[in-house]
Amino acid sequence: MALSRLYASGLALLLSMGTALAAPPPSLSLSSGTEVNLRSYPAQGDTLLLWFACDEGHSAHETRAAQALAGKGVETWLPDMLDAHFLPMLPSSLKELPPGEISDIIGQAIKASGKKVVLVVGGHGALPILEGAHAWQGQVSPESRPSLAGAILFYPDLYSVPPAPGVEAQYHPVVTQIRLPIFIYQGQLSPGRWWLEHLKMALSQGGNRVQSMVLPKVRSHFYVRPDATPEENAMAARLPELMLDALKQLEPNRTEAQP
Amino acid sequence: MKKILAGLCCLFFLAAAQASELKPWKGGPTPPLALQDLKGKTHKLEDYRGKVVMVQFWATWCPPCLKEMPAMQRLEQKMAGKPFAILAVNMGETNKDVSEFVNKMKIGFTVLMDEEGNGVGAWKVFVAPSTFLVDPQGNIHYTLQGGAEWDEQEYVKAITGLMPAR
Repeated sequence: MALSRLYASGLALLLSMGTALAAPPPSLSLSSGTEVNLRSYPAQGDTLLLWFACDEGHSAHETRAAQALAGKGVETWLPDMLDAHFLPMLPSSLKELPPGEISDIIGQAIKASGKKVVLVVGGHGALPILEGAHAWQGQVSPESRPSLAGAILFYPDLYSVPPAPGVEAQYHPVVTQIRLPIFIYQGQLSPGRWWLEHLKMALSQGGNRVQSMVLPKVRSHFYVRPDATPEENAMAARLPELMLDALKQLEPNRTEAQP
Repeated sequence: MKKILAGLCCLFFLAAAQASELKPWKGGPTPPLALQDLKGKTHKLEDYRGKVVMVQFWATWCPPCLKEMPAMQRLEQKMAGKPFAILAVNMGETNKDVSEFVNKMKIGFTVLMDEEGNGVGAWKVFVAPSTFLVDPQGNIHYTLQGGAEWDEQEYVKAITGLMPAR
C-alpha cells in the first residue's frame, strides 16, 4: 500500500513537472480557422491566467503584471484576439470577440497547460468571455468543469444592450446562466460603482459566488488609459497584487466578502 | 502606444458625435430629486415647477463632463430671464473637491451633491454625463448621454420648446 502511494505520488510529481515545464505554444489554431498569436509568461504553479487584453498584449502594465505574476508562480497567457480578427486596439473591440473561439481557447489552455484556468478581462470583453466560458462548460463533463476555476472581471459591462438613461438596464442572459466563481474590480470613479451590487445580485441568481472590490480614485480602463492620472498609474502598478488577491478569493470554500 | 492613443482618440470623438443627440424620454414617472447644494441647502425638483429644468449628472473625473461645462454656462446666460434652471448633480465626490472645482471654473449654475449615489440610482444613470430635460410640469421630455455643446441652436430650440407659450 505504501509503495503504491509512493508510486502515485511520484507519478503525480512527474506529471506536474511535465506540465509546468512544457513550453506554451506560440500560437493557438482554433477550430474556426483563426490563428491566434500567444504571448505567454510560464510559471511553475498550478494556475494559468488567460488574460484577454484590448491592445494586442503590448500594454506595459499588463506585460509587467504578467512578468511579476510569473515570478510568484502564476502563469499568464495573453492571446492576441484583436489582431487575429483585424480589430482596432480599443476597449470596445473586445465586445466583438467570438464566444465560440473563447470556448476553444479555454479548452486548449486547460489541455496544453494541465493547470486550472482563470479568465481575466475588462469592460466590454466580459460578455463574450462569459459566453465563451458558458459554452465551454456545456461541452465538457461536470467532472472537468472545475478546471475553469473562475473569472476576474475589471469594470465589467454585461448589459444586453447599452442602457438608456432612466430606463431599467437589462443584463445579458449569460449573467444568470453562468456557473463560475467571479471576482469584480470596479473603479470608484465610474457610474458602474453605483450598479455594482445590482450586478452582483444578478450574477448570484445563478448560484455564482461573486465577490468584488471598489478600487479607490481610479476610472474604468485605468490600466490602458492614455490620460491616466498618477493614482491610476499607481493602481496599474499594483495589478500583480490585485490578481493574487482575487485568485485567493476565487479559491473554493472561501466566503470572505470584500469591502 | 501611438496606435492605442490614436484609437482611443477616435473612439472618444466617435462617442461624442454619437452621444450629442437628444432622445425622447422612455422611462416612467419623473424620479424624485432632493439633494443639497454645496452650501447645504436642499433643492427639490418640485421647487422648480414652472421652469424647464436641465438635470445633469456629472463628475470632475469625467472629461466629457468638463468639456461641456462652458457650454452649460453659456446656455444659462442665453436663457437669462426665461423660466429655466440647471441642476448639475455631482456623482459621489466630496464637497471639498467639488467646491474647489466650482470655484476654479467659476460655475454659476446650481451644483447638487449626491455623495451616496441615491440620485444616480433613482434616475438610472449609467454613463457620465447623463442629462434629463424636465418640462415646467415636472415631466421628463428628453435625455442625452454623453457631452454636448448645450448653447447650440438645436438644444436651445428643444429647451425653449418646453417652455410655456406666452
